[in-house]
Amino acid sequence: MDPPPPLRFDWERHLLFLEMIVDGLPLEYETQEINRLTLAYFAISGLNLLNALDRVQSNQISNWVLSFQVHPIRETDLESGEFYGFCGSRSSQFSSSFSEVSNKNCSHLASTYCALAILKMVGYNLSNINPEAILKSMRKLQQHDGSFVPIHFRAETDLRFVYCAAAICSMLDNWTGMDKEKAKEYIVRCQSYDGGFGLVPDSESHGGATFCAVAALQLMGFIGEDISPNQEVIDMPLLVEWLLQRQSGDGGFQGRMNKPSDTCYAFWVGGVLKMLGLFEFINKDALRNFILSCQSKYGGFTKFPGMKFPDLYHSYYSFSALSLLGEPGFRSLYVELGICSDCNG
Amino acid sequence: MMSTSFDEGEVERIPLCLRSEWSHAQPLPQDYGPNLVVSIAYRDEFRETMEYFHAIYAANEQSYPALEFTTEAIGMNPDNFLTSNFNPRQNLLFFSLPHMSSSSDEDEVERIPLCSRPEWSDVQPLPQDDGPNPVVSIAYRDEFRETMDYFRAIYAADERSCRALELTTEAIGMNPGNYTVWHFRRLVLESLNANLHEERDFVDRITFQNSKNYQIWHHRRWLAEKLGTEAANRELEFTKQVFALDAKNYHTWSHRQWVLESLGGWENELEFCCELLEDDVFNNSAWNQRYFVITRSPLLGGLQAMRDSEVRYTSKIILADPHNESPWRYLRGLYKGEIQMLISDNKVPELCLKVLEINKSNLFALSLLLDLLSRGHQPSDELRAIIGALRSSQDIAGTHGLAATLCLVLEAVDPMRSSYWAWRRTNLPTGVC
Repeated sequence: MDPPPPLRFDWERHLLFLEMIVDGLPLEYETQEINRLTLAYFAISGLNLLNALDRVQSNQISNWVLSFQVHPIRETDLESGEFYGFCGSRSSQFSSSFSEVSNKNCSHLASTYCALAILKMVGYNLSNINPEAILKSMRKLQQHDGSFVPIHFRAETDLRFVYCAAAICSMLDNWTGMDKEKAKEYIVRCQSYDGGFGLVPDSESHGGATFCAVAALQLMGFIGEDISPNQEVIDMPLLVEWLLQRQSGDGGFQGRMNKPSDTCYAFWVGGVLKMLGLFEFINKDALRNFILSCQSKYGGFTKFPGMKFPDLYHSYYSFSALSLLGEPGFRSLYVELGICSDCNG
Repeated sequence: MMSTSFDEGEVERIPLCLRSEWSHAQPLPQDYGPNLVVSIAYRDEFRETMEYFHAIYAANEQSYPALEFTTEAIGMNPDNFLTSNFNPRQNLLFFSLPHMSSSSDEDEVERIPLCSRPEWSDVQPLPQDDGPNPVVSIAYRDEFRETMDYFRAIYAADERSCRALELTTEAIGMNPGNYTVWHFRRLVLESLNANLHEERDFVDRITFQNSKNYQIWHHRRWLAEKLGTEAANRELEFTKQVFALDAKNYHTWSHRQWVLESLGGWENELEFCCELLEDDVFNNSAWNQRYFVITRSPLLGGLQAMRDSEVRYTSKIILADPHNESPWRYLRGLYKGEIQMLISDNKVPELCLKVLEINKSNLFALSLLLDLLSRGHQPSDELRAIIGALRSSQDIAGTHGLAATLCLVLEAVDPMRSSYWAWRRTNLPTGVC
């Protein structure tokens, strides 16, 4: 019996999917509305990866993104402990006439990361956005143990926000926004006994957390592509084995040991391997087949094979993973920042 | 007959007017106007499909049959969505998310709009200002939009009243990820000096539908901190209930670890791990928790004291099912920071050899032996013999050291990672056996 024909990446369908999303999302995305800037990042970065950024209007995008920025009014505002970055949605943004009352500023680290990534992608000059305000106020979000809260009022702290902070400093090319040593200490404490990283110290090793850890350490300059053992920073050989064993029999990557493969980990785990110069050690054909087995007839990708509907998050990370795999026609990624390589000028 | 979907098999198309699921729809014939790209005589099925599409578009019917139907429509004329006069934002293509909002429950009471409620008549809702050319606009339902508009007004005015609390309940029901709403709810609860036990009951109820939501778990933590150590048992019990539905829920495990470290309750934790592993020995979260207990519990002696008994426990489990990666990593983790002990403790290679007797291609046993040799472990005669036997059974020619042989065997038995094992072979430390 002949083997099935190799699966084809359905360009037109995916482009249509992304274009429609840039315009609008259906009502089921209501519950994601707090992360609207993140959704925009997925859509725009997705189009960029598919070499189709010309399908959107750069000015429209940058004006819209800039409208989410929260500006300090007085110099003393930057000492208040509030973060002056970008909100993630209109439901966490209030017009400046209310900014006199302190608890109305809901700038968030993750939204700020997404905002800067989008602005960079559409070629906006980041020196125009008052980076000093962002960096000076961001420093206040760092905790004693080196971790970051994402927003000035109480919230969870974990590796995701250490990563966001490092990515923000990197994109603004200015590390005064964080204490890198303390951040490194926190990241190191997140390495589990099995070599992967958890979101917080002692938690189970997880693909997403591992990406945040390694990308942040690379951006901060604490590790490079040196994968030799006896490193001061992290247990590298253990990490390498953990990473490679995440590729399951079905070719996909799992996010945690003994869990099913999921398309997004093709990027989270595959991306770490790429950053460490180890991408050649995976079975690329098997991974590509797994990802394409999740290709949706509606455009986009699903989390698992056999699921009916795609979602934007898994679609974006599938596109990213296909870029890592060198799928023809895709632009290459600067993995640490999650933006196309040529945008990182 | 044209195939109406992109699946491989061509199915004979049943006209929409004959399909029972579309009996409710009245097709809308359209005047396509002068901008129509295709100026040929339409097939009946094309015309019919577009007439039904116009009907459901006009009715804004966002149902699963509508979604299936748009696939047919795309199949007939994919260009229609790019060049037509339909606004793509209104497109019926929609996607399910892992977690639907809780307002889709069956026993939902019919909601009265806030603008019709007398107790809200004094409030001017604040609509969101999305600017002139927004991106990724969401097709909010009216009730969602209205609730958030009223929330925006109350939050901007910093009104910390009972009705504000109720409004946050409604907003959370529709939008449980909105951290601004949760933050404000906490401010209101504090200002009202609300009964936090009742609040915890409320959070218990909504957690099950939203168990992968960061904000809910963070709120639980805030509540537990306020309630103090008396909350410990209740929180541990509650996480157990969540584990009964999803024994690997990451948020729940983080919460449980936080409860133990901040509020205590370690007494039965190791036993709890044993129970979970009996339920599912592949549950890596339970293995991780076990490591957490033996290293952090103030009631046990720490890793050094627990090592021997844990090695025995883990070895039994490995022998029962050597394909389970979790106990292998756990075993290795028991020697964290003690490499010398790892390479000189005979129990570990003996275990590997026992496994290889049952299953000579077990990649975890092989790679652990490789790890030991690479770090300077001195092989026993038995180990040399076993590796020699593996070399023959895999038809490996030529002379190779023990570690190199293991790499060659691994290349064969773990083909997914064959290039990694090949690389390991060329990067063995000098002086390794």
